[in-house]
Amino acid sequence: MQRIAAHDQPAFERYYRATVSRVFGLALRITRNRATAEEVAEDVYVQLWHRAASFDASRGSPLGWTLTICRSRALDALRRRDPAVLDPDPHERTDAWPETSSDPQDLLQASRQSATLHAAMQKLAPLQRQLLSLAFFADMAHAQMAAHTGLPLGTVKSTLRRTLAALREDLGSP
Amino acid sequence: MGKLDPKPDPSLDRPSPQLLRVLQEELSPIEPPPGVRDSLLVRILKRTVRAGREWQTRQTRQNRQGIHGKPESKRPPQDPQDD
Repeated sequence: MQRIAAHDQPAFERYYRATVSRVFGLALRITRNRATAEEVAEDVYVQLWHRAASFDASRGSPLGWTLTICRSRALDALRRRDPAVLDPDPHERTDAWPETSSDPQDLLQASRQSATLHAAMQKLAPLQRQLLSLAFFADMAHAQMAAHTGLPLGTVKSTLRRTLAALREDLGSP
Repeated sequence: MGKLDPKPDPSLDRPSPQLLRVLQEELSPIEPPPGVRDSLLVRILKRTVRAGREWQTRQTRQNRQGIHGKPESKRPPQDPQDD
């Protein structure tokens, strides 16, 4: 990241090639649209080029920082493109999605099989994974999740609360 | 209003930043479609190289001024990504 901050173009290209599938994958899962995901990825790397000097290694890895920028940009793009974030059935837009994945926003399918996250997701009920997906991929608040799923608000809150507590235990993540 | 239940810990209402990081870092990658990987890089470089080229030019000039005491003329910086 220091070399990118010094505008070392070969280093920048190497970083791009090593990480673009992660950035594009996250952007695509959030936006569910290839063209938008490409735009997001483009913006992410341009931002990296300009802001690499502000990267703080004590707060995480370069990839983690990059993906945090990506998620934020992708959610911005999602809100800009589609004000109805509470799309009644976002998975209808399968034309935007690779055929290999039946549900792009199911965290069990989306997580790498070797990852700790995958094992944790296997322990969750489908509803728990769905609510967590809505929080992660669409940044939905409780009321939005209730409207989206048709569940009572109290059920959404209690289910998500149990989900987060379970993950905290499984992943050791605060 | 009027309930005596203790207020729940709001940190449990939403995924923490730490959990968000775990989620985003442990998702499986998706390769961009064929051709997009390179064309995307070209688009990025078009937006960054111009800024980088200007920066490099300034650096080169400053270095040469430091060595020779005066700026060296012409010789544009190399830019492999020019259209």
